[in-house]
Amino acid sequence: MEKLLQVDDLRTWFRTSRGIVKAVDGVSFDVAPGKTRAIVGESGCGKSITALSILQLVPEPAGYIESGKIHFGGEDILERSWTDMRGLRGREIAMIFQEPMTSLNPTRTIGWQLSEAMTVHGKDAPAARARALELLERVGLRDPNAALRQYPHELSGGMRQRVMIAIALANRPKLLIADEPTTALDVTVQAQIMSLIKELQDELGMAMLLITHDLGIVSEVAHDVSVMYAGQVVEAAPTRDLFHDPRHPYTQGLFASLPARNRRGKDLMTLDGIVPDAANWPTGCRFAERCAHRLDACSAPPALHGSGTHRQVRCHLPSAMEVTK
Amino acid sequence: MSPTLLHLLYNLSPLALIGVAVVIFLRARQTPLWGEAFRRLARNPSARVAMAVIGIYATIGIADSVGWYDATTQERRTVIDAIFERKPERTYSAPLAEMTTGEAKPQKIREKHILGTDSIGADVFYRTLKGVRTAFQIGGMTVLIVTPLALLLGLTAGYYGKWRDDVITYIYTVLSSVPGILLQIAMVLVLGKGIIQICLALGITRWVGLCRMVRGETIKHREREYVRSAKALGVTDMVILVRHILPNLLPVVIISTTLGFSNLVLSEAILSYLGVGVPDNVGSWGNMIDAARDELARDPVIWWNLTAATGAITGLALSLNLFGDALRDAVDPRLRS
Amino acid sequence: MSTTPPMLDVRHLVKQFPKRGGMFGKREVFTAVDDVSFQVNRGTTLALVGESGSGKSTVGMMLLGLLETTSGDVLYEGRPVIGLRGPERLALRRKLQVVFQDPFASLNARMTVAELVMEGMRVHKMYANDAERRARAQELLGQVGMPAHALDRYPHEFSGGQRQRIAIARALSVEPEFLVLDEPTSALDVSVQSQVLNLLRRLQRERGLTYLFVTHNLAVVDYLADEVCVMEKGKIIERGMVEDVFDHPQHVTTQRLLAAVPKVEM
Repeated sequence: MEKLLQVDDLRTWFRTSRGIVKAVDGVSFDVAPGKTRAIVGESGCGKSITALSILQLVPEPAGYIESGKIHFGGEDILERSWTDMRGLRGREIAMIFQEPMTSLNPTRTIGWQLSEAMTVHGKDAPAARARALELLERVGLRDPNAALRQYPHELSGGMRQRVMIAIALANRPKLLIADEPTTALDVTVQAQIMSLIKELQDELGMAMLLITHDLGIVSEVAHDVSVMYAGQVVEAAPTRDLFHDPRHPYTQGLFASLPARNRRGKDLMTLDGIVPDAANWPTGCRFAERCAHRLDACSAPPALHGSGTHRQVRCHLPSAMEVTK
Repeated sequence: MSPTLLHLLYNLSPLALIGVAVVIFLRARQTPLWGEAFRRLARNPSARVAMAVIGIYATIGIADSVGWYDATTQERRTVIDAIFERKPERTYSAPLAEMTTGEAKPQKIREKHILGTDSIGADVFYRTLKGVRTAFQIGGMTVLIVTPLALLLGLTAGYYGKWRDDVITYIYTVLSSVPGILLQIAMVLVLGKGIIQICLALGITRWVGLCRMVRGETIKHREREYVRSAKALGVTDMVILVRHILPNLLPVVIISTTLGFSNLVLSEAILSYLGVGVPDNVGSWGNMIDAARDELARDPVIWWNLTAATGAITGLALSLNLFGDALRDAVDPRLRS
Repeated sequence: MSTTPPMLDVRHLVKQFPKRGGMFGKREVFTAVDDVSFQVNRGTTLALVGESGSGKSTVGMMLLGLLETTSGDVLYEGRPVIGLRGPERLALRRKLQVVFQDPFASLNARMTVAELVMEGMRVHKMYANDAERRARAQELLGQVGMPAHALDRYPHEFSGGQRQRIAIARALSVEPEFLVLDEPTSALDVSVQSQVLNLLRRLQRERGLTYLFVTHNLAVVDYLADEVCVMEKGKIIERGMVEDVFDHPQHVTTQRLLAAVPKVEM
């Protein structure tokens, strides 16, 4: 099937006083139309920078895309100029962030911000206002007419995130990038927001790139998962396969460290040691130092074995490579 | 005690000052925050220029504080006096001129003066140098009044809140709604002219800004978890204020003090210009500018006295401001990667 | 009635905050904690769960004396603790300690790890001198799995998980019996969370500590806690053994909470 988004060997680096921080260092994945790909990983693994790179929103001047290709709808969008990207952002690709309060302008009404999202892409003002009301209704605001005239601080966190979703979907984008969209919310609100996103996704036939650290959400929402560690994808697979049978020792460790009823009274699995310094990645396998199954071969960097549609694993272990044959 | 010995003892205070500054600098460099800040400062070219200029001013000020008792004049002579003092001419002379100016019949002068001479024939360059120490004295002493006062009141108001906050906020709101310059003039008129009096007048009116800032920062820190965790351990309020909150406020306090210092140097000039500044026998840029009021109306115009004083003030104030800004950039965590 | 009284007995605890209103308006109050009662037995873990704004953290802060109560009683080993002053209050502070959610915010960035861990010992005049306190601090750091060279470093040199260990060592420094754990793993990654949870379990086993675990993370509660109180709008709406409450939730809010937790299907 034709891919909507295809990221190839993306490297996003940062110039800092400590040297070049290779936050994203050779990441590849794709998103099929209408499907959801999750990128999971712990803080500092580069998942959010990957998301920002797609829209060329990496904080400048420190950050820059060193190399790689990002194809969206068949076109290499890294070739696009900044002004060309503006036409893409918000119209073809929309993004929602973790903290809905800081993503909204506190001095403007919800209605104004929602209309603006459409007028910048050429919709005339009265049509934009009518559509704003429709959108607020659709994302489940109790009184959409009143909400149009309200300011962000007058809404709860969950309601603000609904407004963010309305803004993101205003122009019927083909791809939604959601960066930890529910992390700041209570668990019941989180569940409502995720099911809203899923519903809207089906309705609009929209693809989604979901950035999260929450394996539970991944399990419920995503079709495919890429697990990131230390700036690289270490394992990628269809969600069911990955959850049933994680192959990379890091992925296995993540699952084994989750607290649960059946682990009561037993120690949880831990990953000892810390993530290596992004300014100075190890030359070999970046997980080797924390890995319980370390081999001699691990002093050489492992390649990402396997095909994109099934499973890919970046590991030297025979058991990990087996499934990829 | 013989005057000779006494005047040698006077030299201890500038030396002690240098010692304290060096110790503070060396100790600060050990801490991660300031160590990193100093490294950033050292890399910033405009900060380096500013520090060099401030260093030159400071050297002049210190050289003017080190001296001895001169038995013939029965007065204290400083290093600056010894090097730069010139025999007085009859009256004004332009920079590097050979004849006096402003006399009906210009006379030949004894020697050339790089910045000319003033109405009583004193060397303007020397007078300008003598102004440095006064500027530092006023800036320094006022800061010593302002900072503790602002910290004490700001921390108290911010941390305890309630009635203490109400009282302190009330006082500074009233104070800041009276024009500062009028209050300062009134105070000097009551206390009399003199360096200490000016410092008091400036100190009483200038703590408000810093106090307001300290109060705001304290309120912010009061609610932080590290303060609550100290309280849970049973740490007393006083220790929390001094050991926990104060060190977190120091960067902003130091930056605003640096910027405030240059403001004080300017204030001294303004007060002296208005005739309520330091006594006439003390070297002061403000007094030099004050004298220029008449000098600018003369023909030919006596411009060098004003130019020298203004240049000296601008040089110092600009360097202090540049340094303060660079310091803010160096310690601002938002700019840290 | 059991023969041994509970270690902590909270009776009808209420906390009201004045509502923000007009200067001349009627004084209205917002009730953050509304008639909350529970007991915690020695050596066990009670979890206080609920969504943000349910009042669970407020309860913890009141137990620690960091927030004044509006009404109600707290008995620690049978003795009332509210309104204690002076040395008695200080003595109680030693027995009740706290670990906060955000190890970046709960450790003063301007103090070294040694100063942080020794501070409580100084306040309570434990050990004869600083050399002994330092030795004890080093021992404590070892017990929470921190290297010895950590003593003279600053908190910012450590990762989130390591900082939380330092915060735990700091709390343990005064030899408490009871720890309020206020979302201690919520700011941490899962692989680090498991380290902290293992540490908390080990410390409870070795030292017989009693925990009040304030959290919104039901998976952690299911793994660690013995009993659970579910809070909503300042009230306890359901309480019981974790297995009973989680397997047979009675209150609709509890059911909703449990249903909302995304399941990791393996």
